[in-house]
Amino acid sequence: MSNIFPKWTNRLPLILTVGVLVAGACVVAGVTYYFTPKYTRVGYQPIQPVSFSHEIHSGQMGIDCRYCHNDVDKSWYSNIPSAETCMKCHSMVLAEDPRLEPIRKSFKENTPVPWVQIHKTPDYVYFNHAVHVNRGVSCVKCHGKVNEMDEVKHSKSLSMAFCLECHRNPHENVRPQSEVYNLNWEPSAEWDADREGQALVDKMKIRSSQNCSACHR
Amino acid sequence: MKMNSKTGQVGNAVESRYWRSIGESMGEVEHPEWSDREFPEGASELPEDFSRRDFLKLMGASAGLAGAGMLGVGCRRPEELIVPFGAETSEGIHGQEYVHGVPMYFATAMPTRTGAIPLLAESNEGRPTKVSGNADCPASKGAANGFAYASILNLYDPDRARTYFKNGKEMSKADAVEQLKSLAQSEGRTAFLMPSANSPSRDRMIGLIKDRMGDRVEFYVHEAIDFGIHARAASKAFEQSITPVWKFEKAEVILSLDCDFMGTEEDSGLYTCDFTKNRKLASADDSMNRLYSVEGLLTQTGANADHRLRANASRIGAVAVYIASKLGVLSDANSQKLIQDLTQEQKHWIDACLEDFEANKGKGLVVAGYRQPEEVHILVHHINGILGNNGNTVEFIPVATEQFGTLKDLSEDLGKYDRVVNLGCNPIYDGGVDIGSKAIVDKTEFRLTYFKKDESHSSLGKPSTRLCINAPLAHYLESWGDARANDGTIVSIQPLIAPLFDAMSELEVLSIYASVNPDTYQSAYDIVKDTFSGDSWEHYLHQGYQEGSKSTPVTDLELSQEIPSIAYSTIPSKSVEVVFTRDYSVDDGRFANNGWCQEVPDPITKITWDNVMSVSRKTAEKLGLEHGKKAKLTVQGKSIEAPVWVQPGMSDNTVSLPLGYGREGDLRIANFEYEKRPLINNNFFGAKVIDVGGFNFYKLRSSGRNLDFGEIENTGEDYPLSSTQEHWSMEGRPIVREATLEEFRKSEKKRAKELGKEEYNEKHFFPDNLGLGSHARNEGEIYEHPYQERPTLKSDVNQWGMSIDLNSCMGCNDCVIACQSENNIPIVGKEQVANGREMHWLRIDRYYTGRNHNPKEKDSDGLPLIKKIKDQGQNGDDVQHAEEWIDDPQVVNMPMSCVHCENAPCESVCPVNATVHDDEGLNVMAYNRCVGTRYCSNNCAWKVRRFNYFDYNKRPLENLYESPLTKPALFLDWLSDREKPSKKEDEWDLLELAKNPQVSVRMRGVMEKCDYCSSRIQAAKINKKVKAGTGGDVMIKDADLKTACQSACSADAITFGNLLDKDSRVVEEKNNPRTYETLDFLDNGARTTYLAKVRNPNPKMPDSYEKPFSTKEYKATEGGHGDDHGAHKGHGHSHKEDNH
Repeated sequence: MSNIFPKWTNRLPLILTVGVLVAGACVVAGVTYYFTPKYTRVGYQPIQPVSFSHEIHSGQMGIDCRYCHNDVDKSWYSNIPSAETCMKCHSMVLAEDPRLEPIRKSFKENTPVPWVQIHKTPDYVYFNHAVHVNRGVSCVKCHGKVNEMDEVKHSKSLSMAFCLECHRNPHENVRPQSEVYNLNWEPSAEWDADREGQALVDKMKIRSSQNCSACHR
Repeated sequence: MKMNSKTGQVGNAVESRYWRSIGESMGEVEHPEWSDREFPEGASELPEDFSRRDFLKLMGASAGLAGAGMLGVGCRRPEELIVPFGAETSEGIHGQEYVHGVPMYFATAMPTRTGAIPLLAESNEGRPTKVSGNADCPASKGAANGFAYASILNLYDPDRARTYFKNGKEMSKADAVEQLKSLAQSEGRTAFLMPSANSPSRDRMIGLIKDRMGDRVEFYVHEAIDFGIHARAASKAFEQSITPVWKFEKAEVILSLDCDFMGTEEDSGLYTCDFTKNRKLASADDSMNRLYSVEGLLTQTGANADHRLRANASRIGAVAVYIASKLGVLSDANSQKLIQDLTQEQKHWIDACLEDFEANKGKGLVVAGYRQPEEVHILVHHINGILGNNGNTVEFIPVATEQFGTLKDLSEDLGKYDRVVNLGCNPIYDGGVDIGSKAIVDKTEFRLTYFKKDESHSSLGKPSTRLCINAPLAHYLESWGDARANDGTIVSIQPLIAPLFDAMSELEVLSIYASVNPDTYQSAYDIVKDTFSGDSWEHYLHQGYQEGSKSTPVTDLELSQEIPSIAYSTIPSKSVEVVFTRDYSVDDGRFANNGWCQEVPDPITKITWDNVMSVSRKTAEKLGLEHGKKAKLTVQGKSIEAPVWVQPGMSDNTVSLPLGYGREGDLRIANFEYEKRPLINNNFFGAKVIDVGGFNFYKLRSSGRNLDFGEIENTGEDYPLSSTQEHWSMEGRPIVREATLEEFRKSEKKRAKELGKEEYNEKHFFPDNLGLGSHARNEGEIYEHPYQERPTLKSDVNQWGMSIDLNSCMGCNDCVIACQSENNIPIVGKEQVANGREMHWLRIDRYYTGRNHNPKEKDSDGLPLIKKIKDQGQNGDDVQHAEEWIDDPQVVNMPMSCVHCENAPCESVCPVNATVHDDEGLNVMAYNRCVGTRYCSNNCAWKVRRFNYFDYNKRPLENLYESPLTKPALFLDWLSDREKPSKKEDEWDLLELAKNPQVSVRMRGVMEKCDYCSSRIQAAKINKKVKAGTGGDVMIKDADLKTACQSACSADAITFGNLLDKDSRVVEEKNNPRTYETLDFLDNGARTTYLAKVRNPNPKMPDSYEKPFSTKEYKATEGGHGDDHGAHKGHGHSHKEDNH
């Protein structure tokens, strides 16, 4: 009877237990790291058909966000400008630049430039740009300092927790309406979210909803 | 009564006071298990032959699939592109500023047979997704109807004609137009066959064609249901070209002679709107109109009448003659003969009714329906003349003299013509048995057709001797046009989308014929613009109507002395009269391929996907017909077998035949058989075929005849019908409450006297005073109140509430269709409806109550009387006595959807918090959280939750049971693209376009229900906030928001709004003394409340009633259990003792 199982089998339960634990831990760690919005989204920086630099246009030249994204305060959707918008300047500036060929082609043939989408909420989330930018929430809150990015990348996770964090504490996240499109605005030393921020919340009757119905319908 | 005093629940369904089918009323619930269960039997079970082994097989395979799926798709999200416009100003982009993501609205109109319904169409990303009534248009006051709301789906009908072809060969539109041009220029005589319309541009084009071609052309108009009768009869009666426009809002007493003005007549939406204006009681001083109805079928109008007299459709003429002779209009011998046919009871009824009209001269209105012959209509004009109503409650506006022949004329004149040009008629289907429709089709050389292949398609049957060009017909949302609405106002029809399949409109074809030089023929846009005579074309299109174009009513109303006599006809013995009628769901067949229309329950029978022959109880007994079994009906030598439906309220010896079903073309909704597809094709569980699509009663109909006689006999063959009648039963609790006007006034005066003003407004609403209040209340709330637990949750800006006025609701289903369109609600098919799986978020419950009906009546042994009689197999007088209340029921309609309880039972039982309360009082569904336990539905007392048993959106109806396991092709598809629908591509591409992008499309396994149009609420809030900017004006007012059902309701029965806005209409409605809460004994704090129904009987009528039948029935059942009630004494009912 004793010859059937070799001696090492005595350690089998231990090996199995440790093995299962290690494997389990790996799976948990892997899921935690790879499946979180942070991993899948933040830092996403696809190659665009035209290497448009927000840093030059917005940062250095100080063009307002709404010069190109002109529907952001009207619609849920912040539009990507048509080639025509680019051509308003680039018909004269860098008019022959080969890097702008796709834009000129798009304008001439009225075909779209295939920009790659970076920021995206899932289909079951109904996010609305207009209501945020008209009510004291700056672009920078979700998109980061785009004016310092040469090529745009995903800088915030845009997960549900990310949304809720702001919706739970609106007074810490609103700013004067005049500074919404000023991505460099920092609260001054006297700015106290509990006082100034709360005053804005009260004045605008901000009731940032934490209910499912706010975003899911 | 065995009653659970704690919950107020009635012991068993036999005690129900309201009944919804004959079986239920007798205490024999046809499906007793349905009322005890969350979903009807079978709705939530696997089929019987599904063994444990099968289950394990499935489970094993699905685990394998899950693994395979993970490998294939990975975790990274796919790369997606954003494609902006190239150049905004260039061609192809909207002329006006287009903001992506913001819906645009355009005024347009849906043409109808005699006019148009002015509409406001919503366009999302360039595709029309929803239409609603144009509230700015004075001609319609925002009223529309279910057909208009459903018409959006017709635009995306997958069976639409997609190409031009001739002789089986496809051709381009340019080629087809070239050939049409040469046809137009060729020699020979042409006959045009067109559907009816009332369009200034079309009339102008016809004039031009006649000018150019002279006697070489003639025009014929064909409609299966002819509403031109009203204009023809009025023109004859007054000897001038006029048509009547009824002004129900001015009428205090109304008599409908077989006129279903709330249902199947044209402009029913507008008439319902006008009629219900005088039924919105708020205080004892308010007055209310009174509706009398004489009819053979139970119509929606009859169902809402205060007094209803059953009379055979063929005797309505006699009723009119009787009234006329009483008023001294007629006294000839023929009239006397006709009158003899009326019974004494009928005469007494009419006498008393007439007294009411004589007391209300100039404020009464008698109307005759389209099914009645011209002579009856003319007589009605004389009656209205004597009663002083002409010019007051009925106005007459000038119309163009009708210059067109009928289909019958064309069939007789056919030899005179060399060719026929068909502008959209389908004579083979709906022409009638006495018409040589085949010959007409054979002679057709050009045809506009909406469907790829319908009955009149020239390659059906024998090949035609001629070659016909088949051209796709444009939908009204793709074409330019105009029309005259009900009051003569000219409305514009403008397209919202370029023709999907390069389709052609009627005007384009006429234009090619009208132009002298066909190479320069005018476009439809130019024609309409040229016809327009007002100041600003842009303003006209923007408003949707031409201001000041309303016709002036004719004041010179001299009646012709000549009154045509009404032909005497009597139902031959052993025969029945058959009445052909426009169907409530599919019209005359034009909406038969529209899934929303097929699935909406008929307002009276509650049958979906089929039509039936309705007969009365007595007729069924006399002729041995059986409910739900087929019978053979023979009319003029032609016969058809169709199921019989024993319908309360039908007159005896009458069979109603709704038209529009039994289509034979390649129509995947209307005709499931066209590809030999059974409804369920389930290899795994075994295939089963269910007949669907109804019966074509045109096969019995001579052209234009609405009445005929025939013989009917039972065949005994079963036919499965999907009726929603007994689904979601309410177990006889006091759901619908009603009173008579007298009771209401008395109660209100008494309350006002007894109570101080504040208290008067606060409590003891009158339904409680009537003893209709609830049973014992709970001692406390069962479910936690979300705001008590977390007071900070409650918003101080908006709180939503709804009020539904049962006195205005006519049960028309318009809200159901509008809800379906707004909220992306799928259709589920006949078989799924039979399983109780319909998905409508909003349903209309229809209850019957009967005079002297006492379901608890017991004999000396304490057994239910009716059951004993039945058990003993007795027939004759006893049964007669016990059942006769069925014959003249009172009907109540009640729209029911989620009532948004504050202490919601559904929320407490959800294990995953998928259904939760929000800060504004909504009970919301987070679809992504839902795991499909269906506990919420189980715990819902209103039975308003709907579960997606299958992926109804993506799967074809006959393929619901297929899965990647049973069909390898599906598995491969699934591997390559998990999003890929299994609906055919041609269908899916179009159906996707009809979806509302603001609302999630739910998938299989998810619970859903009414969310008060959450998407509209959010949109309104966002718009308000954007407008407010940094200001604080964010409260939603009435003007900012309407739910889909609210805006669809022509009767204004549904009011929705912000309870915190003290000026809102919903607050006003909730303060109406008629307000009550359904199932209020549960103390759930429902946000939807109802306004009790008030009937207005005339005490002098022989069939008058002091209390609605339901109250009497209620009291009778209360009394019926007298003794055993003692045991429960002390529980509830205290308010009743006060009342006695």
